[in-house]
Amino acid sequence: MKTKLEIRRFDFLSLLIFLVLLSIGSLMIYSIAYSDGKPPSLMDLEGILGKHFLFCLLSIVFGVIFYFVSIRFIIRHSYVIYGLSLLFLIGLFLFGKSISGAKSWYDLGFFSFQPSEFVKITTSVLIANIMYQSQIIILHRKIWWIIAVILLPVGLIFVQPDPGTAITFFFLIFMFFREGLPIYILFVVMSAIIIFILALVLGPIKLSIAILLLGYLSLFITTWWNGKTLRRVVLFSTIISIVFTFASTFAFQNFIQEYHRDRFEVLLNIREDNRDIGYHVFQSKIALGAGQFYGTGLLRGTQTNGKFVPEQHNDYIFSAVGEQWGFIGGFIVIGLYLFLILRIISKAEKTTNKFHRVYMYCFSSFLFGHFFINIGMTIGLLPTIGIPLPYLSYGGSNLLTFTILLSLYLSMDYRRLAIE
Amino acid sequence: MRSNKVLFVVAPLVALIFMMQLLNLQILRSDFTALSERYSMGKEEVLPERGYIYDRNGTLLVGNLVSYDLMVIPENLDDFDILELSKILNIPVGQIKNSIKAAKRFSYKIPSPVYRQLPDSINALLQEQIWKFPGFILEEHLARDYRVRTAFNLIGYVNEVTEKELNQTNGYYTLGDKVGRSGIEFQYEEDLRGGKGLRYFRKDKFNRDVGSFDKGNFDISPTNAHDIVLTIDAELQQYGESLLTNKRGGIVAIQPKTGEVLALVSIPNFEPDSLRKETGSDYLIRMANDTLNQPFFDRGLQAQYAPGSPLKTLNALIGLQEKVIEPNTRFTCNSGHYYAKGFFMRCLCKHGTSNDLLRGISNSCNTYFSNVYQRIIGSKSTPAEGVDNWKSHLNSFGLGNYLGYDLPVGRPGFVPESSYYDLVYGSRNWKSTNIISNAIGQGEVLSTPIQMANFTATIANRGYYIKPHFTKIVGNIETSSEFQRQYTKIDQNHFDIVIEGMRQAVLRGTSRVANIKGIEVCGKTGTVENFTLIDGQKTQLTDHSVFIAFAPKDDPEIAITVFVENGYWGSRWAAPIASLMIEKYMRGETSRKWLEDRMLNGSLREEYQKPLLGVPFEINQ
Repeated sequence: MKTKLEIRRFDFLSLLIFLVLLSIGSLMIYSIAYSDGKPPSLMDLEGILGKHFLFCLLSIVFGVIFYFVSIRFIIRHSYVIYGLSLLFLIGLFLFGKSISGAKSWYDLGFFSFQPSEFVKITTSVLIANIMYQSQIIILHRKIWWIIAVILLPVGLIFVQPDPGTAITFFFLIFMFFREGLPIYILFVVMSAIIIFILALVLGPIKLSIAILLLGYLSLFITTWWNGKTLRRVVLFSTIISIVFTFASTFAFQNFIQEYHRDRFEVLLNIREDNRDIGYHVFQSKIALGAGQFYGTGLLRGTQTNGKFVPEQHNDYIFSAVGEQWGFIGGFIVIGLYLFLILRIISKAEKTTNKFHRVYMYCFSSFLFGHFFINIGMTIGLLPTIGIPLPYLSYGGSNLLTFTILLSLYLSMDYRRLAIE
Repeated sequence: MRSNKVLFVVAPLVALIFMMQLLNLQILRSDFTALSERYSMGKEEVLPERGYIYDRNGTLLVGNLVSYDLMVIPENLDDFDILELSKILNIPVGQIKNSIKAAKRFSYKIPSPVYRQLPDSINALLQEQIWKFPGFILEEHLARDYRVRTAFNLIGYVNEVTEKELNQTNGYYTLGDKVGRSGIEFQYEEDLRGGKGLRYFRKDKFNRDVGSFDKGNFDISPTNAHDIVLTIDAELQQYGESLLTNKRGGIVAIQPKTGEVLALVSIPNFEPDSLRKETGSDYLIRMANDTLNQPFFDRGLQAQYAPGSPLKTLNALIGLQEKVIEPNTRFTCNSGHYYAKGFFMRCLCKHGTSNDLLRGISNSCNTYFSNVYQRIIGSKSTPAEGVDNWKSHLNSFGLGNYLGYDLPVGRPGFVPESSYYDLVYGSRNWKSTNIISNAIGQGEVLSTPIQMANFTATIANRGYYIKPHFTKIVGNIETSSEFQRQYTKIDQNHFDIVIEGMRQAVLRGTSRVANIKGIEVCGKTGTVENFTLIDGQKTQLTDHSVFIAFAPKDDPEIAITVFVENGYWGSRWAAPIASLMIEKYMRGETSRKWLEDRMLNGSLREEYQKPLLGVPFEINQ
């Protein structure tokens, strides 16, 4: 009786979505590797398809292994594992291989190993552990511990420099919201982003004048209510906004590397450039446009066949889906991700185990982060930030990381039901 | 503790925004779809090689040759060593710079020429080193290759289509295509060009061809161009062209039995391969503006002259047919005669000569034909009916209208009718004496050399002609089947006496110079008065030298008309040239070298200068 119950409660649906996404990704990489009428060989370990196939096998093997690893064991050693992963990050500065200006990789000959991906697992586990251990609520003192746990790897990754991967850690904010972070923080963050963007588009002076006018108007209106606190808030936020306007502009111009600045500027149409920096996104959009409603069909995409979209097997794989399978394909892939993200957090809501819940929220947040940034960039809504699309993109470290994350989730979800 | 399950809201919201953006990119906006086609799929026209042109003996006259042009696309220009390029091309740096400047003015994206028709040695060098010069490309062309330099007036030339024409030709042509402009190249454009094919190919981001698109399923293979076999005998044609050197005029030779044109000479002529050279269009403009020599004016097809004495042969036939004369009808000539009170028409006959029809023709007696003509006109109840009847006879020989041959240019000539004279003299206010010049081919009748050659062939055939044409085989189709005999209104039995007269003219009459031992040549000379306007004054110029002939007398193989402008006597230029042509055609060689040399070296340039000098001049010297 018990056995039967267990089997039924295994989250087959998530596993299925994982396998479907993996298959779609493999087909896309197959089509991208297809060149000059020659199908790529699965056995050719020099080619991207052969390597990807190997990564898939490796990931599934590791996924199965991690499924059977005791969660208790992981919790117990979460500090050690986290520390080890940080050591790997630090070690990069000494032994890392520099690829396009960033020391993010260990060169293992056949395989490049990117520790910043695996840190997502160790960080998630450690945060879940700390939250679980202390039953901590947000704004408790221990929050600084957790922030440190996050910012440490983020800082190390940022200076590699790999800001793309670093940014994904900020999506853990969704976990914090779940765990009690006041919602107004979201508005503050949103306002900051809006001010930042407006400062770039309008320039800090114009924006400051606009904010001042808005602030003055707000003050004028608030006098009708005779709300002293309200007026203070208005005054305070006006000043903070203006300071932030200048500070962010200054920081953007001085601390952000030029090629990242360019990407923002192209996205915001401050600069028109379809040949140079904007080329990637431009080509990606063309590929998507070529797909139209039904897509061109596999291997029939002119943009994919013509190898127009740079890094298409990697960061721009969604454009291959969009071209060859059209709006329908893109719709389904987005739907699958959305379903998986929601499925994980709804499972998280069902569990009574806080460790499980925090972990699942971390996993879901990372998944959402990658989904948001990658597809947003591919369809031209976000600046070019090169991070892979989990389960679809080529890239061993990312695939292995997200397979293990999923595997741990499946394991926790299964055990939750088993305990009941 | 409040828990904010923000992700439950944010994730679907983000997914929704993404889907909307997808909808926008993939369905609502067509510009990205259009871009994808432009960026990735190349479409290339596959041109079949333009058809070859052969002469009647299978000699290749026009083929094609591959040539390379160095072109520049300003958009793709990058730093390059201009000195090195200048060294390879062996042209000064300044010239390259100028070409680039001109190219930029024209277009940044469309290739413009830097050096046309690269010599092989430079081409070989550049093919290897072109990568050093970004923005420069070598463009391959097939250009017309004129293997035998002859008959350009007939073959015509090809030229690139103009932008204006692109819209007028149902989109068949694209910029850079060559299209036939005149002659056979124009007339048989659709046969010679074949049908374009299309090849779709995939391009990668470097614009490189990375293979056919969809395994070539969308490709359209070109339809083959047709080769053309002309009726022209290239050797005869070339010979005729050399005989007319330094003269102006035309030669038309026809095979009477088939209507095949053996030679169509028009001098001065143009050289189509000069058009291909760097100064191609300059050459074209210069030729077109040469109003004196008019190299594009085909003197065999377009020049309308008064036919002169050769028309007497037709008047004789009409007289016989209308039964106003018989072969033994005699008229007396007193070095001419008064055809009306106070109007004397001169003749070269001695005073008191009595000519029958045979001698009338062989001596080209004006008096004789003046009388014949008056009888022809008088044979009907009114002069008007007489003229119209006479006209209908001439029309049946192909005079007065386009012959309908397969070349794009020509003139109808002119045969006057009664209403024409009504207009000139007033209704019924004229009679045969007013229009007596028609008797000797000096009146209102106008004909082109090919029309004259055609009626000569008709006489040779004893009463019919086959529409003259210039092609024997187009593609795989023999054209001869299309043609039927066109019979004249003259009964066959009347021809022999006229032919005998023409034979006598060669043997002992005005055309003795045309006699060839062993070939029975029949001929008729002509000396055609002509006028031009100098400062608004009608001024007479030296007569045109004309000769019509065919040979042999029985079973004729060639009928020919030679027209030499301002050559004076028919026997001075036209008859010798016609005679040499006949001998060349029938024997393959000529025996009378002295005559040949006289023709080859003879020049009429001085004669042509006369009216241009602005001083009074003598004619008919």
